[in-house]
Amino acid sequence: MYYKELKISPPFMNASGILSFVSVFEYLEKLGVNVGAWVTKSIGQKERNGNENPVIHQDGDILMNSVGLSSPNLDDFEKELKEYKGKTPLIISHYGEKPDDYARSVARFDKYCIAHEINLSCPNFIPGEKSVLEKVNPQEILKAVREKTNKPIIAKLSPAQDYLEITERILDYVDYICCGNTIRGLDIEPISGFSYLSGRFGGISGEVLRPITMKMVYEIYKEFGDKIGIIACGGISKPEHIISYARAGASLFQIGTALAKPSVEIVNFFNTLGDGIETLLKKIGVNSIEDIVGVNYVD
Amino acid sequence: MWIKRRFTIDEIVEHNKYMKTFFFDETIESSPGQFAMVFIPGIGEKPFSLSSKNSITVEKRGKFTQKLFQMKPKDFVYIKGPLGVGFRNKDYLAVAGGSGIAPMLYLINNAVIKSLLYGARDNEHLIHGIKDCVVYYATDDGSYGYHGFVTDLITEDLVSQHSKFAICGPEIMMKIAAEKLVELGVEPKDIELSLERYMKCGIGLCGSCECSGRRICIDGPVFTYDEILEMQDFAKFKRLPSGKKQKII
Ligand SMILES: Cc1cc2nc3c(=O)[nH]c(=O)nc-3n(C[C@H](O)[C@H](O)[C@H](O)COP(=O)(O)OP(=O)(O)OC[C@H]3O[C@@H](n4cnc5c(N)ncnc54)[C@H](O)[C@@H]3O)c2cc1C
Ligand SMILES: Cc1cc2nc3c(=O)[nH]c(=O)nc-3n(C[C@H](O)[C@H](O)[C@H](O)COP(=O)(O)O)c2cc1C
Ligand code: FES
Repeated sequence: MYYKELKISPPFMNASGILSFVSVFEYLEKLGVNVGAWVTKSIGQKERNGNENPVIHQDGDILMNSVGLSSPNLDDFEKELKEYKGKTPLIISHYGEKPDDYARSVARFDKYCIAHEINLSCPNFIPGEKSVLEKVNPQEILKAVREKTNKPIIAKLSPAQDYLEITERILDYVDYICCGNTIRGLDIEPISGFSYLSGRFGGISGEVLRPITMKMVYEIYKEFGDKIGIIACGGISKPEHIISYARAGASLFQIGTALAKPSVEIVNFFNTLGDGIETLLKKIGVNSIEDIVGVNYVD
Repeated sequence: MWIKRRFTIDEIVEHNKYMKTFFFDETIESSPGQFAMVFIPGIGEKPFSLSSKNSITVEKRGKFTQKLFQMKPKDFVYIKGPLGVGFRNKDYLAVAGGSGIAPMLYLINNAVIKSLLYGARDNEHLIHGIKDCVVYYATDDGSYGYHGFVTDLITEDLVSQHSKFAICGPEIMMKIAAEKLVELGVEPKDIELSLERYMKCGIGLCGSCECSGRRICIDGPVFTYDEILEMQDFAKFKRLPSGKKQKII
């Protein structure tokens, strides 16, 4: 394979912006959790509050968030990274407004992590702001970042983006595509006419995202599966979902919305996920997830 | 499991200039110490302890609570709750400061508080007429009850009459109260404290409310003091909306 492999075991982790802080990761580790890596909240250049509350709206199976990339500044973020005492490796998620921003934070935090996730797809900036790809060519971002690190680079895209075209443009600089971020939506409170979210629009996550994201994984794998690895992220809450995503073409997995649980339950969730995957692999008759990556009969 | 839905305000009790209790048309299956995210469309969403199965008791502070204070019966809000874990014991000696009285009112309602030590800045910020338990008042300016900190009212005699302790209020006050109780021989596991941190999602996703790795909105807000003794940020650091850590003064 061409890509720099991200070797983590077990093959699953949290999604960026979920649990967010290294202190939370450390505590879960103290409680005995077993995950392959922890992904930090996307870090930006300047301190930023993000949107005001409400930043989460839920109705039935639909969860929307408009957190809007809240972030401490680089100095304060580094202070916490320095204090991290966990054994589980970190993946640092970055966002910025221009190639330089990404390059600067990748260079600065390279020593603290095993890989970098480049967030090119946050759908919920503050009203009036533009998303990063409306302003800059993704190729320039990835090129700038590649110059700063030899570690695996993950580009996080959303199923709502033109992901095949973007992947093609950044192919020479990335190792993994994370499929994917949330999809922008709107829900209006009927009596008042205001949005349920102060950020107006919000990113839809959770169960409803799974079939959409699975199609994204499937299509990217089909087109570029020999050149890059795929991380699936969208609506995973059971071992079955991980197996299905693996068959579509993903080899690593991130979990977001399903982690809205007390700490003890998160530990239990992750620690039984591994067993569940084992059982399913046995049923299929293979030894490891690698044996089924991209193995499907959809066509 | 929590739900989010529209509630109509049924009745508003104005305790004083700064404190009101809002009663809703329906109840929320919950226990004392649990909280709810209250959403006013177009204004915002903030966390409040339930002060009974169908009420919140609010101190007027900034933009959101000012708007809430202008609301009238028949107006509506959305409530997402009950959230978090509440108090677990009974026959409490309770210590409350300021709006920390809210969850105590729920405990009193459930007849699990024997004695209440209740302090506020001044008489204008105190709720009077609390029934069904013995109440000892304190005000910082001496305008009602004991002149001084509510923690001064914790005496060996009172402590010896109780075996369980509940504390809710400003974090420094809670620390002083808990330390005093321990000095008087109380086991940390018999003391429960309700913590506050900046909350965004309220359901354990975003990490905004983190204190020493615990997400206060879902692992708390009520913790026993022996758990809190392991939380190094208690009474020392909190996170701002950006996630930046700041010293508690
Ligand atoms: C678990 C919990 C239970 C609470 N219970 C009660 C209660 O029963 N009664 C009561 O009067 N107050 C309670 N509060 C505090 C209440 O949330 C704030 O008073 C309210 O958010 C103030 O909003 P504002 O717009 O009026 O004022 P602002 O000017 O926005 O804020 C004033 C202060 O309120 C706090 N605050 C603001 N937003 C938040 C937030 N999203 N999360 C946490 N704290 C915030 C901050 O300390 C801030 O400095 C509780 C807070 C928490 C975390
Ligand atoms: C509250 C919340 C905050 C998020 N913050 C970020 C973020 O900072 N960076 C990012 O790349 N994705 C962020 N996401 C998106 C998730 O990482 C993930 O891509 C998405 O939720 C889909 O996965 P899920 O269905 O398992 O939740 C956030 C999602 C939620 C719900
Ligand atoms: S407020 Fe989001 S995790 Fe507690």
